[in-house]
Amino acid sequence: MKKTILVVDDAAFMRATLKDILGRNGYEVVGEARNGAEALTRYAELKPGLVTMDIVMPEVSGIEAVRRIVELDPQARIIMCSAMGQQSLVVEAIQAGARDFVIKPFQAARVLDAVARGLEA
Amino acid sequence: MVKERIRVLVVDDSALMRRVVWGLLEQDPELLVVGSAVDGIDAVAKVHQLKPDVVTLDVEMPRMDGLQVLGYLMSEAPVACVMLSAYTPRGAETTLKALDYGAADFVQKPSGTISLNLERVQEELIAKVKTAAGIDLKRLSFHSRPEEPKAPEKAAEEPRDNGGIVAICSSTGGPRALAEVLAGLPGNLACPVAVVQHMSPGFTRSLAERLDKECRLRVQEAAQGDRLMPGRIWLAPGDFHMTLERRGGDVVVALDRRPPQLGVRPCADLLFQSVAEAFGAKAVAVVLTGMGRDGAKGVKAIKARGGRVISQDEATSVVYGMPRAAFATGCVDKVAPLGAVAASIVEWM
Repeated sequence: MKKTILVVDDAAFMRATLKDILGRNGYEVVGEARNGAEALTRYAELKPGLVTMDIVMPEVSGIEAVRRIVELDPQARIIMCSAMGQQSLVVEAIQAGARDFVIKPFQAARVLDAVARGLEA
Repeated sequence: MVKERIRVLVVDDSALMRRVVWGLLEQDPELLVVGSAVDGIDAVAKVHQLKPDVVTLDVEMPRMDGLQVLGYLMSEAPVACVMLSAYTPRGAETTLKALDYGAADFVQKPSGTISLNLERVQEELIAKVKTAAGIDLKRLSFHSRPEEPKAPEKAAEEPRDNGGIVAICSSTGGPRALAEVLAGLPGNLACPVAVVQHMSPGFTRSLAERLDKECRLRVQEAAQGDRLMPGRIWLAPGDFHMTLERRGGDVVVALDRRPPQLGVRPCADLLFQSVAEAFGAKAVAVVLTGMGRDGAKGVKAIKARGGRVISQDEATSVVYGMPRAAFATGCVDKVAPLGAVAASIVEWM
């Protein structure tokens, strides 16, 4: 499985943190997006091995983006990134087609674990 | 009507420090400490749960350090954070980074000589927590800088000297504002620049080093007797007043330990007054973001001698205190948004 990743989050700090964790561990972050609409465009362009998707974003939300990406590519591998206290949204995202989730604030070990499993599945 | 108290969360991995900080804050009737957290993860959970107005955040903590907590909070649950930071060279660097990550301000932690400086720390901490509570958080978003910023080329030769000077002051929100203004100045600026940023000793040196990496002009922390040269920037060291005086054909830096004025040392009024004296109509004074009213008396002196004055506008000021006070004197020639300050300086120099 290719180790290319698209990072989607409206917060620059969160994108930078994920890029740092993933970059140090053999993954290549091939693109970034700041909302669900951008995520869809970039996914179509880049065909990444995996997407990390924030849930709460302006304009098109992460859950809606999962629906649209899965529609475009039923094999898409997406893991959700959720802030504390957004459990109900995580359930909805999994139903929409996301494979797993990690909770923010990010801890490197958990992120790597979820990404590795996401790419295997 | 009873004014709502400001709700504060205290985060520190040391039980002693939590108790000290809680105690200091609690003595102010406008503040209400709603809880404390023992590490970064706990802090994040407590912010979601207690929804404080202000968080006092220890910079160095186990499990998740203050920077990571700060970055998370400003991204997912924005809240005003005042960093508590021990002074070490590395601590100072991290603290400046915290201001980039969106911290409202920082206070140097009470340390070894705890009983001696506790009162001063208390006053500073309470003032900064109250100021932080009023800041529009949208103005403090995460601002990423490259880890090793590529230093712009410094001018190879000393620029000509037009006999003028630029004097700048800033406080809350100042380090970020200074980075923008000073990096916007051209390498051939034909006069020196003197800067007062209200900041604890030690941190000013780190700030000068960091600004030096980002500016075309050389930036240094001022030392007693430094001879000013065009195209260079001098930053007043924390805990000293900085004034400029003519000595023969030169203008030199004088540092002193007179008592703080308006609660601050360095005090910009003193710098501006000395600049008015030494440079007259060839001075440009700039008042940037910050709480309080330092600089206002100084701009009157600048104006009285025929110099010019720029103040930062309200929309781009993290705290519109000092620029407002300067504007209220009627001595401001130009009110500029942060992004236009450097160009205004160049226009007059």
